[in-house]
Amino acid sequence: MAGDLWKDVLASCRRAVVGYVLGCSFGILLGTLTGRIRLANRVLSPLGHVLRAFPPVAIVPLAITWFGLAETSKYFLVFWGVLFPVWIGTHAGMSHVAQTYVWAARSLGAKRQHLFAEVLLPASLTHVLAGMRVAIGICFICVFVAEMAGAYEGIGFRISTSYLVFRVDRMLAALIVLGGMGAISDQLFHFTTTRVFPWTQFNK
Amino acid sequence: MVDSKPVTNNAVGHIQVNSLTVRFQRAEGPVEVLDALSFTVLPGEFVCLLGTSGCGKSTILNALAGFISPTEGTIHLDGRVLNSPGPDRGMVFQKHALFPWMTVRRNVEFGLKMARISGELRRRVGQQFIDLVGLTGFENRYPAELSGGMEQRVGLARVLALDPLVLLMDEPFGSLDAQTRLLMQELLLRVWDETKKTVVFVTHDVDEAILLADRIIVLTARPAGIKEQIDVCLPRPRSSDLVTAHEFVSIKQHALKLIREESDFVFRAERG
Ligand SMILES: Nc1ncnc2c1ncn2[C@@H]1O[C@H](COP(=O)(O)OP(=O)(O)O)[C@@H](O)[C@H]1O
Ligand SMILES: [Mg+2]
Repeated sequence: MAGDLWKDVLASCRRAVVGYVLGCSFGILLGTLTGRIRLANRVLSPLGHVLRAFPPVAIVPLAITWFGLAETSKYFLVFWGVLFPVWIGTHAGMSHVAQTYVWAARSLGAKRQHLFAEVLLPASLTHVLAGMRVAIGICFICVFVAEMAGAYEGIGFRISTSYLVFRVDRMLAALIVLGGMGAISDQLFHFTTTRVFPWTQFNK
Repeated sequence: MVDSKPVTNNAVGHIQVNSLTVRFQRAEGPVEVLDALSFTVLPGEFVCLLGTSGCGKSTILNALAGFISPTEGTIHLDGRVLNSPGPDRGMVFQKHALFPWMTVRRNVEFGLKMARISGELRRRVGQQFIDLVGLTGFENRYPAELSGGMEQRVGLARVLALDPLVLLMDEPFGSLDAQTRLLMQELLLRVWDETKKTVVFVTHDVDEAILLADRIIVLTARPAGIKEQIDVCLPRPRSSDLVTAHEFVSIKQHALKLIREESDFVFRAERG
């Protein structure tokens, strides 16, 4: 029994991590494009805001139709949920990078291809991280929803099967584990980012 | 006057600005900020651009730095047309231009990193300039942990580390308190004396201009043109004691009169 729980936790974590990493990567990419390039903003932002209006929960049936009951539909759903807050955060940061940072970097010899990693991303990092932190919560909601809708393992699956056989104890245990995963991830994220990027904590 | 033809194949920091005009597009139509401005800065010369605020001083420096392109006219450095930013011209901004995500050391080493200088050499050159501006021991601080004067010293070290031909300085000490500003001016003069770089220094402070410059270019109110050039023939090395010297005071009276005329003009224009 305990071994089963671990198996489910692991499956859920894997989905969370894969979807989260994909969502963050695309969110940062999209936010950089819309935040820095006027044409990209004109074309992609309206599209993004329309797509954003579809709640991840509502696209579950569609995701399953397209990607089947296998892992792809889970990853897609988490990706979808994570993408938008990270995009919005990155866009907000990228569109407000002080001109002097870019100018200073250019006059110190930075080429255009250096700007993203050396200036734009660090200069928008507090916004990007805010989006990523919001996305952690959404990420777990999406994992849960995806697993409820059809899966063979995972915390969501465990809760839905326990419900079918009225095992309230198992449901509660799984629920606590799920809540714990979310809370721990959030705290771990906060702890790690404030230590790796101490300058984001300065108020100046 | 020295020969004003372009100097060729000779990297010495000779700036020639010819009929520089800059117009910005605004909602209410184009605004002319610089109007056919021409001046020369000789290699190793310290020139101050003196003008009231909003007259277009930063715009001139931004054009020299290559951040904005001239609407009309050209800028040459040692005979070469300037049209993009580059490490041959080091810009020290008024404030908030250090990278807040980098420590002092990484800020100072940034240009070296971009020039693909790595390891021991980068560390050594960076340290040399951190020491030069008196920030030894602060290498691992972040800009937010520094005072305004220290931030500006990092800004100076960061560009000096690349050994530029020209230093462009946009009211770099404008937001510092009076004591710190004096110390920074003396530091800059010392550094300039050691490195003999061409300096174009923007300020609206008459005392600062006289204390630092070989020559002061007084600008008219917008669109900026040249009102008058004042040669400052005060002996060097100079220190802040100079401000009471007779020659200093007479230059100051003259410069203040010029500035006064321009600011009166702006003041009346703004009143309608
Ligand atoms: N990018 C811009 N677009 C429109 N107007 C600008 C721009 N940059 C500067 N200006 C205007 O040009 C004038 C001169 O600006 P600036 O060169 O910063 O003056 P200074 O440095 O002498 O105070 C100001 O009126 C300013 O509003
Ligand atoms: Mg200015």
